[in-house]
Amino acid sequence: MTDSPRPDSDPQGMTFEQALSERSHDTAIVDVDEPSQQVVLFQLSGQPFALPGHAVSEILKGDTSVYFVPGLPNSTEGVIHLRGTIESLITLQPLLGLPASQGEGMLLMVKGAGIRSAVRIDQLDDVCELPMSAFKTPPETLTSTLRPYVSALWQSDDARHATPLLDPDALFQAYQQGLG
Amino acid sequence: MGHVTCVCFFASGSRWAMEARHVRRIDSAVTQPRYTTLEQLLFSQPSHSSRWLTLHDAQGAWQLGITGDSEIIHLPSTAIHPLPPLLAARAPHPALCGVALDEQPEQPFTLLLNGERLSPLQASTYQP
Repeated sequence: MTDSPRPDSDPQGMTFEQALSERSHDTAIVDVDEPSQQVVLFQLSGQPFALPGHAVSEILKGDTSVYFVPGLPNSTEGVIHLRGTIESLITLQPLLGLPASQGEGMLLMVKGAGIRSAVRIDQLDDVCELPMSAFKTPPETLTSTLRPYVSALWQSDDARHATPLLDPDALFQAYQQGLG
Repeated sequence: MGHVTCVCFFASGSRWAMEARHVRRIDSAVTQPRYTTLEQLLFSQPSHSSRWLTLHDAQGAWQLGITGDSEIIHLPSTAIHPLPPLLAARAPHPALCGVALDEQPEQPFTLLLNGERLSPLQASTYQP
């Protein structure tokens, strides 16, 4: 047996208890029970928006055949044929005060106010679970055109803009009342 | 499989159909004191009509002008759908009651009119 320094003389030395204690700090951070909400993140006129996941039943290709119905406002593109059922297809830009978009984008089947309709979006960004603590109350500075339809704001760590979480009930009720 | 016998015609770039039982006759000229055109009635837009469908409302016979020929078709009941709620809320006229779309590609998209809800609300300014 050779001579070696005593353990307590090693400046880097630790006891089992100290090492295990440090490891416990690493694993105690995640709260897996924190309530979360599924959201569908998408773009409209270059701006990020979200809808609650429970309100979006299906995501369809943007090139789905659309049948034009004359005499309707610009926010109504017409109807689509979805597995034997006729569904309306609307755009939200007029209601939200946003400029019209170009391109096919994608279609979301959205439920709200007891009814269902397809909604054209420019781009689908993600479908994910977000902790409820990440949603903030919409500020007073939110534009008056958006405020009635936004239930919360989500600010991600890396996003430059806060993402408004849209209220599908408010959107469809307003549309039925002739807005947009 | 059931079907609905309809008078079908084209107007404003779309194909329209109305139950044949609501159409009493089809003329090439105005013969009734009350008349209007489909475009005027639904979209408040002037148009030239070459065919006139005689319909009846509570005040008696009146004529609805359409821009071209019409035909009798038999729409299969399975192809007939109600208007989706959001679309019904913004429909240009309460007579627009549904759409017809069959799975078969030869069956074009057709807008359905309820002839009982059509009526010239005021004296027409249209001069045939």
